[in-house]
Amino acid sequence: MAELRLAGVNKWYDGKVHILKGIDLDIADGEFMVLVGPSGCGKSTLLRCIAGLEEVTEGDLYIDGRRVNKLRPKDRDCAMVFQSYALYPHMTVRANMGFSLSVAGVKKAEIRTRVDAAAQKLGLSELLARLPKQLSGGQRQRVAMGRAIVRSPKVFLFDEPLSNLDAALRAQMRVELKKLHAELGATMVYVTHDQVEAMTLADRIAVLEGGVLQQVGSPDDLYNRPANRFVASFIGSPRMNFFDGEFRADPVPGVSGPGFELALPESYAALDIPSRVLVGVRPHDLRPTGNGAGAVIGNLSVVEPLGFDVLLHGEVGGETLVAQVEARNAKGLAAGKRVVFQVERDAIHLFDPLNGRALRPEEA
Amino acid sequence: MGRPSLLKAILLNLALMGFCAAVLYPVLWVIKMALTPSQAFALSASPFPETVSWLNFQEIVGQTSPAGEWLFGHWLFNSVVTALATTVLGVALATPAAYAFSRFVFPGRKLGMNLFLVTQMFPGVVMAIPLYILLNHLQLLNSMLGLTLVYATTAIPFCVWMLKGYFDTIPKDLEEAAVMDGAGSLRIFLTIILPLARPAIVVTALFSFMTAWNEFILAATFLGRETAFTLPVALQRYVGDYSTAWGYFAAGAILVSLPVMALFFLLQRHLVGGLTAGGVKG
Amino acid sequence: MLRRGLLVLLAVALTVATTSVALAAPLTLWHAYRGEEREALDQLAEAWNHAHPDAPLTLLALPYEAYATKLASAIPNGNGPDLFIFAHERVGEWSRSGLIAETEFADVAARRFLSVTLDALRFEGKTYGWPLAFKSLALFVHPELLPQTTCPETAAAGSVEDCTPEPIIPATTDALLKLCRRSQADKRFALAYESGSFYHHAPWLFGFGGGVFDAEGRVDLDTPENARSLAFAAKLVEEGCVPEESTGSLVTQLFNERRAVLAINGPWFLGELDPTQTVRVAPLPSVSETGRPATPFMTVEAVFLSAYAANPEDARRVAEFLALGEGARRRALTGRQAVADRTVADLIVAANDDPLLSGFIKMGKQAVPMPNDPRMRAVWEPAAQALRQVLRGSATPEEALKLAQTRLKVLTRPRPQTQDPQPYLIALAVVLGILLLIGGIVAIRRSVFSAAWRSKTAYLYLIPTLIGMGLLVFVPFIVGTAVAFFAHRQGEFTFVGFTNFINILSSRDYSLDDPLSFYFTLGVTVLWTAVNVFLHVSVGLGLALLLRDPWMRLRGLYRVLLIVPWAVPNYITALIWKGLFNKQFGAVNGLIVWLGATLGLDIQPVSWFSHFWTSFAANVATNTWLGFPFMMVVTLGALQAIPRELEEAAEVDGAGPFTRFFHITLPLLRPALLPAVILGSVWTFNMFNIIYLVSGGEPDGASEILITEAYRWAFTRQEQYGYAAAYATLIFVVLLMYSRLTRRVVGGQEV
Repeated sequence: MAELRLAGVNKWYDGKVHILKGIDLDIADGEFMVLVGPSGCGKSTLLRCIAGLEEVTEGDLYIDGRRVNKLRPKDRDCAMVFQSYALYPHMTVRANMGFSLSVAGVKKAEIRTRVDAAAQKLGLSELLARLPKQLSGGQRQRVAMGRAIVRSPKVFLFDEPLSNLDAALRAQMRVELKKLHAELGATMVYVTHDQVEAMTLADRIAVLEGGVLQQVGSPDDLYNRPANRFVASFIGSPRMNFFDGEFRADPVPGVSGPGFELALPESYAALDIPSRVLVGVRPHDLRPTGNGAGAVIGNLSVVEPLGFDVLLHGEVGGETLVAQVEARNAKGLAAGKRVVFQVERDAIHLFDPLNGRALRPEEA
Repeated sequence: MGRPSLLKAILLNLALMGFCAAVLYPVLWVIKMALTPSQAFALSASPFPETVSWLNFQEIVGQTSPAGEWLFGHWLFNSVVTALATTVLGVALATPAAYAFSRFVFPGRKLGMNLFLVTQMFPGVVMAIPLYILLNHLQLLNSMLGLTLVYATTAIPFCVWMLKGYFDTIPKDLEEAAVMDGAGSLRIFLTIILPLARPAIVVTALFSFMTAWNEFILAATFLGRETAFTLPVALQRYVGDYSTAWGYFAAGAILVSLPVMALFFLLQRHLVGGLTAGGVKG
Repeated sequence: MLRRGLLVLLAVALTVATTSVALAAPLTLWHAYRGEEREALDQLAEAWNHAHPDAPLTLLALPYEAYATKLASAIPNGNGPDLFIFAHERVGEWSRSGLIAETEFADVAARRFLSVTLDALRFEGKTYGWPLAFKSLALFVHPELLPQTTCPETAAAGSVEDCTPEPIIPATTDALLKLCRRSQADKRFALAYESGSFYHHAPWLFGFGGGVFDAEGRVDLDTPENARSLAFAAKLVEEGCVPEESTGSLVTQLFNERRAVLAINGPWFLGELDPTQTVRVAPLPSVSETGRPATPFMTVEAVFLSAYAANPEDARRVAEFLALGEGARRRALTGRQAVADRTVADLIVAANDDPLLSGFIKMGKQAVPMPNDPRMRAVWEPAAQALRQVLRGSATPEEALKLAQTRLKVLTRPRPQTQDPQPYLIALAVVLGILLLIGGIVAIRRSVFSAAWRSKTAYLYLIPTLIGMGLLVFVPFIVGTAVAFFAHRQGEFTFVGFTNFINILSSRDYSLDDPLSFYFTLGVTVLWTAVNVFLHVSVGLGLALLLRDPWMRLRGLYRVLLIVPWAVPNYITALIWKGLFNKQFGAVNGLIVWLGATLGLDIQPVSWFSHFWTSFAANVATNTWLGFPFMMVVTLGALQAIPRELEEAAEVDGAGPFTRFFHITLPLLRPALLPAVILGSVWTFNMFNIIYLVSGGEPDGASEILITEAYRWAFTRQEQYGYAAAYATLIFVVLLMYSRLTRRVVGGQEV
């Protein structure tokens, strides 16, 4: 059990490529922290820096208050689950799980009991004598997990551990992971590019882009109060719609642009907002009916029924638009139709078009 | 790509058999000469012996020294020991070196790999006498150790190249996982990399073995006692300046190649897998 | 300091005398005898040891191939034998390089040897070694195949027993030519001998009044007498007297199968004769044009005393014991040697228990000792080339000899001017210094040292190998390369700076298109490498593609069979291939002619080694045979790693087999094949055995590659080690450039 602190962490490759730029991050003891971002954003590198597989070029890394920059991986007491699982092909499941303990010089009998216990927990007891190649994808994933659990490390590190599984299995493993976290109460750092995983698993999410930490917060924070355009578009599926628009404070705050005219909450009036803004609306905040404080007029091109919901694709003033509405509210909507969508005031996000920063009144 | 038609299969097999026959023709000659009691080099078209006699083999195997030592036994022993020692030493030195080249980025890495290739370019002509002097100064002439060292250094560059190619294909994840499991570099090398590279190691071992097993010029130059000779040295004595005792020489050549063939046969599964099995990346 | 270091290294390398001074050390004697000769020697050693337990004698039989090198390296380093047995032709060299000690014969002892054998051991007024036996060519005869004398009809019935018909052995060349016509009718060759070897031609050379040295002792091949002898040799072949392209093995075979009535060969032939046949040994015929007997070279085998012998007194006693009296008798009786002990030789002839041996002893009177002048060792190659040019009709005797003479001049040219090594050493030191300085600066700039420190683990893995390689590969290489800056003549090295390199690179000795020029040979070598590697890869790849298909039931069997060429020592298979390419008797021509006949074409047998391209092709065929298994195995391995789906996907996409191969399979194989190809081309570039054993450089040195040229300079052209080392260094440079080039072509990709 441990807390983790990163202070001003920078990482350069070969002194040329600046891959992590001044990361400050505190992870509390027992917290499930998800690092998310598009590929190449540096999230895996950050994880590997924590693990000690990569060296931090600048800045400090603390585990349990102890600076570990110069510590070798094995002295940091972190366990890592790899995307490829990295099971030793020539060792049985039991040997794979027990390897770290035998390296640490733990007695054979104890290794046995601890491996058995972990296997029990993960439902691997029947498979202990097998070789990795005799296992299914899901089973391998469990072994990889078991290998980490056996050690009862201070910190668990996961590097996209579910990305090689099919959708159903992934969903199932997600739940199991969450249970596991609850059970172990250990600090976990989890890297993924899948925002669904991030949202479902995380206590807090850290969004990375271009080596810069964009926002750290609870899933709710990130979803409802994205700090910038990038976070807004990255979190949430389907992704947020963006339109160029003009802001006016008088007589009531509102934004308008080709094909839309929306009112904003009063609190916006007090803000210093540039006249040109980027307007963000999440797809499910667009309602084909009801009384919104403004309208977006879209022309539909494709209608995708999802069962409970329907995805409506179209355009507004030349920009693409995606709306997610309940099927019962979407009757009669078809490609080629013109639809007037209502949007709640509170559901509108404004961003500075120059730096992408969110423009939002302070919380009360 | 399913199974081809029967006709095509038959034709292909016939062609391959023909090819094998052509390939084996010169080898049959060696067998013929070995089984013919005469020491002449017969040049008839038929590669099959007219008479079969084991005299040549008896002569080779049955040699004794004036002191009554069974020479063939000594030679065989020396050859086996030298070849095995070369194999062990060659592989023992080449695997860590190849591992370093494959896994570490360090100043001099490229240069090092090139140097290894470059050693294959030294024409042997210029090496024999300097090597002799060197071994003499090291007091290693006349010893299997000296010979083993020379053979091993001859075989290492090939081994390093082949092993590096194979190591390159072992996923790095495995090592990182082991690092996370707390294993040190040496333990990773010994418990993860080596077991995984077994096919490649088998191949390089075989290659080292052959290097030592067939060589005679250096062995003859360095060794000064009859009981210290290796098989090829003893065998080469049937080749004279004016003429060659072909029967004995052929019989000896067969005796020398049999173990190598046996090894090839036993290891052929590994051989195919190991030479570069992994050489293909992705 | 540097200068001294280098000189010391060289001195150590080449001449240092670290005499071991162990007094009671047992005597050692090295030899390359085998069979009966060795048995005789073993018996003698036993006898000696029985009688002299205080000075025991140990024998060591060595392979001939490595014998001379071993002597040259072992003796000056104090590891040599006290005594060694060798032919006399290197006496000059060894005397100059101080390897052997002079023999001071008591008059009595000297008179017990045939004087001609002592002459052979004399060099610059001194005698070296004790002559043991002499060897020369003689005429082997199948008596029953010759016309027989008829008993005079007038003889009384009672005296029939006095008159057994005797075979008429041709005593002159005219008689020989007459025999040719007779034998041709019986589909036999009158005579078989290695017509392309200068040693075997020498009897005709001297018989026609020619020779190698002129009256003033200069080497002179270009004489009318020599030309006549060449014309005669050509005539023998043309008229079908003598088989074409005879090799030693062919001579043996033809004679044993009674397809040749006569054979010219030496005593070593005795061991190869079919024991069921009665054979005689007779003197060589005399040349009808001159009336002189055909005079072969005589090789005197002698036991030499090493100049470094620990116990020369006892060694002398052993030598005398072996050479004279009982020693000679045993060697004659058991070893069947034509011994140099006059008394024993006479006794053997008188007793005539061994008529064949007696024949050889008598032949000794007709032979001349091979010159032990070091220059003689340069004669063989050009002389043989001239001989073979004439035999295959590509030059007249006069032209061929003229060319041989110019080539000989190159080979025996005087040593280049000695230079002062000091400027070179200073330059070397400066260059090294600058390189170190630049390297150091660059290293510091790029913070190489800290990077190196950080990757110290990597170095730990490398250290054992680096030490081993550094010591056993790089040090000898540096010494070897240093030799390239010296000229070597008769055991003496002198510093000549870049002269060797300049001479080679400026092609000073040969015009550019001469087969012996560096550039011609380089061109051949590059072609040789390219063709071979291409064939290795394509044959190996083709077979691998066939053998990976799972429906191929016998693929395990094929795989094992096809690997066999790799496993058999190539020395022996290369010689078999040479036999297969023989013009008259080789299986390859047999097949070609048979195919031609079947197709109704009139195809003449190909004289494989008479033309560059065919000779080259023969070498390539042999080397392909040897080399494809390696590539096949590499490819099989690589193919296993290619997922079948890729090819299947391409097939679904409608790609034909060729497109699939060239666009899918081959590019995927590339990374695996590339290292194998690079290593393979380096090995092929230096593939000595095949060229040396199969074509031997024929025709006229044209199919020689750089490594065989280097070898010839080092070992058959007056031991010009310096020049050879320069060749070797250039080989190295060429290969280095090649590897750089491939890296560029491959483009960044790591190989």
